[in-house]
Amino acid sequence: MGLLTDPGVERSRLPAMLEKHHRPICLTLYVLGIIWFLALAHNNFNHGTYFSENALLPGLVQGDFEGDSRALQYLDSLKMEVEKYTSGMPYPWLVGQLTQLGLETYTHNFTLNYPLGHGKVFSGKNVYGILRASRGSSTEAIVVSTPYRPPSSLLQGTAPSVALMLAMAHFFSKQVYWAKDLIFLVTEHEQLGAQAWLQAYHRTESGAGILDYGDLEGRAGAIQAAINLEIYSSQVSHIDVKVEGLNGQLPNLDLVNLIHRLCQRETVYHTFKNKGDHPQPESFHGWLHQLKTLFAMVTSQASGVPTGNHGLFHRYGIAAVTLEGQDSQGRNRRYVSMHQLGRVLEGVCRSLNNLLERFHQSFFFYLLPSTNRYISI
Amino acid sequence: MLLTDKMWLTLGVLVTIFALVSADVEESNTFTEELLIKPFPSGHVQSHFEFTTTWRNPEISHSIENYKDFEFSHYDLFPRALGEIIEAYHVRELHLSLTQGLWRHQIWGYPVVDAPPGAQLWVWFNPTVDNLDQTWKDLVNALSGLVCASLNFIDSTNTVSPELSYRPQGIAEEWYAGNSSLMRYAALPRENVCTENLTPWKKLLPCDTRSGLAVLLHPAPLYTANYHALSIHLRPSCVDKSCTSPQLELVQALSLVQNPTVSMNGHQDWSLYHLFSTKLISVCPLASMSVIYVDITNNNNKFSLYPEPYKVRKSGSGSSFRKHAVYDINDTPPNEEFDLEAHYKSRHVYGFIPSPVLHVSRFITGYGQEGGSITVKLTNTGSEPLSVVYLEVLPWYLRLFLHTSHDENQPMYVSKLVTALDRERGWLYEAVVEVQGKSTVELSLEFTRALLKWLEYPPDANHGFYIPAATISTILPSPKNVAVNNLGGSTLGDKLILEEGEAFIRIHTETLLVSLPTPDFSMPYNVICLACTVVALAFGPIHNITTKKLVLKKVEGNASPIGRLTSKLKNIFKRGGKKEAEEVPKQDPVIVEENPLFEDREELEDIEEENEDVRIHGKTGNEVS
Repeated sequence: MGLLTDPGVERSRLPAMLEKHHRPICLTLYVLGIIWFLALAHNNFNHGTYFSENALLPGLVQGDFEGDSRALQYLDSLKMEVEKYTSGMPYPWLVGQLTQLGLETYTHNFTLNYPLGHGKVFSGKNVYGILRASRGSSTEAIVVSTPYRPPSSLLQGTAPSVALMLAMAHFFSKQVYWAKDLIFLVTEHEQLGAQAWLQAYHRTESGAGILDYGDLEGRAGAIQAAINLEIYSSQVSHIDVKVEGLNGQLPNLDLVNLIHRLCQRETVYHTFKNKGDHPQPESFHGWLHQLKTLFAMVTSQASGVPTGNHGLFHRYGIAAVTLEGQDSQGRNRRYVSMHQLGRVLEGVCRSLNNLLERFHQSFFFYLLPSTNRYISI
Repeated sequence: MLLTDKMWLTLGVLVTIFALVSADVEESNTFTEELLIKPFPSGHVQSHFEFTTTWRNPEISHSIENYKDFEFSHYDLFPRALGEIIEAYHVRELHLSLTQGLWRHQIWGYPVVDAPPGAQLWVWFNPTVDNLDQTWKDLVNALSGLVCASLNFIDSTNTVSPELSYRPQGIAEEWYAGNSSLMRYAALPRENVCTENLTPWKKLLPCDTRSGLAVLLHPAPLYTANYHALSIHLRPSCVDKSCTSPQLELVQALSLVQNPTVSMNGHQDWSLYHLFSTKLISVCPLASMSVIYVDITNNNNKFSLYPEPYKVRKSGSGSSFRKHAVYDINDTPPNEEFDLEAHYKSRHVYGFIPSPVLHVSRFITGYGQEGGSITVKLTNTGSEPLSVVYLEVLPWYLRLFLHTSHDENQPMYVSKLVTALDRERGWLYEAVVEVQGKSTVELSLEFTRALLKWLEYPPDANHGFYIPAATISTILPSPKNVAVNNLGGSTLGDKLILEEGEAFIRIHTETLLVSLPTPDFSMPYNVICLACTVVALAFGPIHNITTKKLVLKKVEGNASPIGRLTSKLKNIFKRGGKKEAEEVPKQDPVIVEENPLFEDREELEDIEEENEDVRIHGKTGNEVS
């Protein structure tokens, strides 16, 4: 401002000195910046996570889910069906199971006009069931989704997540406290199916003529939040929470904290970027561990590629995360059972049900050096 | 002496004639209570209570026939609280409903009385009203007190007068029914229903909840139901089919949909005790009819009733065929508590349920907080084309683009359009669309969202704002999924007898939730901080410059190192002139920093001249810069 400096008068010593030595000063400051960034991973320079949205009330109520045996039954039944469908989704079985639970079941057809390949056309079908809230008027909804992977897929099969989802649907259909509808969605062809479903739900197009998103017969109002499940086995070693979305967009930090807090409550080993919390974060090794986690997040976010189907929901203002569970491979160390997973999911859905407003309180831009520390913008 | 015998005779004849003529119109009050229980193929069970009070007397007939205000006297069964409101506010027909939950037309068919989620009020007034808007406002506030609901939120921004939808349901001549300026319609989608609304509603009943079917109305099971609608319908109706004399009919209806399949482990078994947590104890002595109907039209030996129905009534044929099990409680009063049970032979199987002839779905498309579009999908599963009247009432903060509603391929006729004025009135969009057989028609209205003034946001601004339900009215070619024939008579029993041929239905869509762009409410605090900082930083120097006085300052050498250090630090940050002062210690130059006061100007001018001389003559070797 002209009031603080007077350009007419001869310059004083400080600016002249800065100008004279600007190269070493710039270099020093740059190096200092990098050192400061590295230091952010240390607990002295970042903050512990906390809940901004008090309405979430995480883990306030004792969980009631006891349907793990039912989930295992669904898993066995699904494995038998999967043998018949090596490259597709067992649609009739899924539609039948969802209908028998009393949900409104719909299928959604979509086609992809492959832009790079000589007029090739791929088609797919998503299956979703809507559990109508018993006392609600279908103005808001929560989505629980899972990408279905046939045995011929290169990625790990998600049959246990479909089974868990069906067991949760059975449990939820008996409860009377739902204020929002629950949509149980099984998508095909990874992110393509999820993107097609979202585009059909919101009737938006991104790139004309490439993805023909078809039409949805059933809707449940405005979607408030989405949980994507990628559970690869009925006994997983830990739950990894994936947050990065398309173009580096992140969900609200409250949702991430909710998952971590509920995992803690149900004594489920939870990680971020497949790294759990270091037992001594103040030490040098703790700092190094957190630094590695931080860099993993920075690189995955910088790439702009979503780490799961949840990344496609962020554009529509829907907070979404993915819960991934790797097989524990028989290690006698602690494993997470379907029962614990069900309790976590029940707690998450109940907390999301409590919300009156969309996620707006906590941060949308943050870096996580560990599951319980954050660096905000 | 004044009256001769002849005059007495003519007087007597006239009196007799008058007595004979007026014998048709007599005073009569009737109260009937009926309950209809209907199981759905989706596993739900509907219970519909209807308490009908009819009132007929010469004054009322006169008011109805001449479109004058009612004047009630000698209240008997008709509730006085409601009667006084009707008298005071020139009401001819009134329909109020408070609903929680959404009626799922696709799996439950058409209800007896359709109501959208929240509160809905529509009233036809007498032509005698002079200031209808003021009367509407007063009526709304009076009703708000009567039913303990926040109906006072109805104001000019959400009240409309649709042209074709909501024509009178009672006796009305063509000139009256076509004059939509005499009616008002408003809906509050966010209104909740609870026991607070049930209690005053129950008090309007003649028997209250002490006897009769109203004993079944315990609050706990009512408010855990999937759908709960409380309604009051007042209309002038005909006593019988020939419609020779009119009467005033008040129908208080309570519609419930519950899901016994979930709680009974897969069986759709229901009983009065299970549905209402109480059994029927007694009969209302004031009721002329007290009947329970169970709809067994679709019962192909799936369930059986205990006790056996007193009577089975079949009515209609073809698509209007209905079969009801009738339990006339008044006729054969029960000795002890009466419980009606239905036992299903096997577990409930969730199968495919065919949709009714016309079903509607409405949703918002688009994302983000700038714009979007309201799309409604009308599906006609029948074979004949349907003319559908679509009424949309929208708040003013959704700025519609009306040109997007028209499609060349979709001919439609806009019967009424009222454009919105910010903060004064909302949108009314009423159109007539033809939906061909076995096809779907989509209508969409594009909008942009307005930014409200910061005090107009509710406390939970990020929840969003509710858009009231749209109304779809049409005449169906056959009464296939229709529940009642509203023109049939006064009691539910008469209405349940359907006739072949056309049937009128009015259905409502879902309510929508839109989130408006919400400002960051902490910004006023941030702006105040920033503005105050700027003002402080700017104000200080300006004040100094404009008000400080010029002062001579001698530069002294300081012996102590701290003194030298401080003076050095001061020198770094002070402006240029000081350097000159050190270089030429002989002269004591004067630093003119601020504008001096007027008195010192001459002195300063002298000092400036001295400085000029010093510069010109002092540095002989240097050029004058």
